[in-house]
Amino acid sequence: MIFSPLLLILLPLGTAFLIPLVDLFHVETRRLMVIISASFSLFLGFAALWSAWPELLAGTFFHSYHLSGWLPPLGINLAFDSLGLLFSSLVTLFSFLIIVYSIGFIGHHEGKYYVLLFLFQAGCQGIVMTGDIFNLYVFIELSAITSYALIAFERDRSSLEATIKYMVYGILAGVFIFLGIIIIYRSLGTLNIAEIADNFHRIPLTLQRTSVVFLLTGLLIKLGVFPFHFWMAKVYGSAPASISALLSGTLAKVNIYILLRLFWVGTGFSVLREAGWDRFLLGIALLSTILGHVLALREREVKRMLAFSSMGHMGMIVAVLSLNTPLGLFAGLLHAVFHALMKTGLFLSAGYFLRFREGPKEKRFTGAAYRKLPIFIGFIIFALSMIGIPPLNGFFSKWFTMQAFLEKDVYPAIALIYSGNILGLIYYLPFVRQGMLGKESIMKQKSTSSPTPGFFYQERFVTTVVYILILLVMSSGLLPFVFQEPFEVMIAELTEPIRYIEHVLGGIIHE
Amino acid sequence: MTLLEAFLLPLLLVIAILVVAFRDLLSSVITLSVFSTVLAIIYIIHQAPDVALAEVVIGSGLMTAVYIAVISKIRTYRQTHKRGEKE
Amino acid sequence: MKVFLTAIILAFTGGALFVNLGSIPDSFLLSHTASRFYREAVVTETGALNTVSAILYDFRAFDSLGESTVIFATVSGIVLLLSRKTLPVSSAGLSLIVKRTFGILTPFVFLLSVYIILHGHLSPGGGFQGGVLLAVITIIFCIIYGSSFDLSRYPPQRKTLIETTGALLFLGVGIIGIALTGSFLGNPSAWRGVPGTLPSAGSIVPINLGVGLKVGAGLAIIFYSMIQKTLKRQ
Repeated sequence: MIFSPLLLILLPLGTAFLIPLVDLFHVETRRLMVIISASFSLFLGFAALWSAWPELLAGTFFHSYHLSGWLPPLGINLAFDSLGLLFSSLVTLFSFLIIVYSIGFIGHHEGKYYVLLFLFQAGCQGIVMTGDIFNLYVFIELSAITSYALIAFERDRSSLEATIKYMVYGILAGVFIFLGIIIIYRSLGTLNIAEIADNFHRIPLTLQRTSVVFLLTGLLIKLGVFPFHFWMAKVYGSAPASISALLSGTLAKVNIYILLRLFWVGTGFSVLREAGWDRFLLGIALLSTILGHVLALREREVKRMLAFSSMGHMGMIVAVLSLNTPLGLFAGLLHAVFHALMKTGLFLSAGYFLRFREGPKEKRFTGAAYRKLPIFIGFIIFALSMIGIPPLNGFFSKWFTMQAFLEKDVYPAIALIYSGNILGLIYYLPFVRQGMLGKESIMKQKSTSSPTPGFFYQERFVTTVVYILILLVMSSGLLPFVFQEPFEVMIAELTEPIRYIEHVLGGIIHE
Repeated sequence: MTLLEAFLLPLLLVIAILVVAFRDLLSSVITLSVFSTVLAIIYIIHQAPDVALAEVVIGSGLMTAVYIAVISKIRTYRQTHKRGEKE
Repeated sequence: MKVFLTAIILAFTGGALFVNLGSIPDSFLLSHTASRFYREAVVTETGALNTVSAILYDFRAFDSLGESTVIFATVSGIVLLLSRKTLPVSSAGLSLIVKRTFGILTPFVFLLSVYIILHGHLSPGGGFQGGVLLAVITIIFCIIYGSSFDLSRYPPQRKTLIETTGALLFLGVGIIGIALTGSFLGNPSAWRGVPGTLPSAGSIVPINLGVGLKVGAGLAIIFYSMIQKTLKRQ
């Protein structure tokens, strides 16, 4: 198979470099280039998945690429395994959807917006593919810095405030991760994740734990788990809906990937377990689950409500992953994928109403059903899936989550998830009600979109993306067992990091 | 540890405290550039000329200019804001 | 109270960090580390006399691509947030003496920056440091001659052109590396030359140039978009 994972990074990167140049000469060309490049990277992602599928099922999928031609301890390498493939496909799919959505949502006049989106995509793909811990840090910074600028896109008071808050937390998280990396490098003398995994037990115990604490703190800030959740509502609430969807759907899942890669493969989960920190992680993650759902009850603004719900679900994913059982990992990965689909759909369909309606932010959702009924039905479907109604995909991931907790006899967790579902029902209902009421007041309002006929009719891009997401949520709910076999391979990779080490360092002989 | 370093490291600490202690932002920024210069000398003592060059150029040159630009921007904003209230 | 608590937490973290970093073993726990290889074989393997440059732009060139892209992203973000359609009306600048002095001095600053960029593989420095020096010229122009001078000499469009040229040069060298050596950002041995001379060290020189243009123009754009509004009022 002739396929290089490198292309998935280089294509968005090259597009981002080209956009300002093309913008200087001809703006129309740039519009075309954005669409073509996004479609081409989607095609590449599909081609990668398609050609890798047989190897994935056989459990032999692994791609290694040595940048600059130097072998792992000397240079940087890309290590693309099946877990990376899953998250890379997620990044490709959602970046494509968000770029198409943005063409209708933001419009074409802001070239820099698309530069940042493509850089964000390149950063996320880099995180998912790299096999070098410092390179991982570079790409974490790239995705973080692009998201700062994207959040502040509206340039009003609240979004600037949110950006500064997010930036302070993001820089703090970056510093913590960097300190962890420095300690590991200074002790071992290597930056390659496979070599670190092979030799992490040689580091003195206190240093092992210090580096793990730094890395974990940094990641928990990025994930927005309980003690560090302050930034989430503000940021998701005041960023443009497309960016909120990108943060909650893609960036949060990429952070889950970093968590898995660093603590299951990089340091080995035994470091966490021997210190008793897996229980601690479970505790704070469950706390953030219930706290997220309770705080969501209070919100009257749809995006802030979705932000707190996102916090709840991220907490649930981290909690079920920290059980470190095969079933727990399966449930966590499944919920990560499904939550990305549902939450992106919720943000994008809510964003449709916020964008194409006038009036104050809290009022814009009133009477939404009369503006565009199919999108509103989509919103209800996503919400039902979030709550976990059987034929939709949210049900299956929650089902496996419950089973994982039952297996380990963590009964409070089951109670918390049940109450989370009921609370979810309570906080989604007012918005559904709000959307269906207020017909008279709505008739007076005008829609802000000016319907210009033709292919570039803005609204069509937005609605198409939401329809695609509805289709994905419903079909993945009908076929959840497609995920079973490939996920088992990924879980085997996570529980036996020796396979990753052998794949990367296979040909190199050590003392 | 050379004698020069034994003198420079405590100096670095004093400057760092001064940077935080100043109420006036402009003084803080200028002290920060002094901090960068001293740090660059320490880098040179430790035989890292590349890092020292970067530290001098960025830390005490460019960053100071950007910070001062931001401070002047905040001041003009505040002045126009006050004027707007009076009128 | 809040300050007191913060101070306690900071002191605790700092103390823990100090104790832990102090307990790091003196030498690396692994014996086959990359740093030993870098020290012994860097000249024969890359042709560069400056080890730091060789690591940055050959062994770990992908990191440098990522880092310069971070600067590119910052520039894009700042331009996105601070972009204004109005052109600045600047002050007349400083006095004649300062103007004449810097008129003589500025070419030498430019020369120094070009020297640092092009000699990155031979002497300390490289694309990044030289690029920042290039950006300093914009700052001199804006402060000494007023920003309208800078606008007329180097309009933002030209800076964007230089910046993207640098970025694409970096990427292009990487792709040429695929064609010549089979791996992205590979250092083709045909370009290696005699170590110690100016045209040597293979792809390190063009990468340095690319980073220099990218960083220099990028930081100049950042400073320029920062002062726009300020000078308009004078």
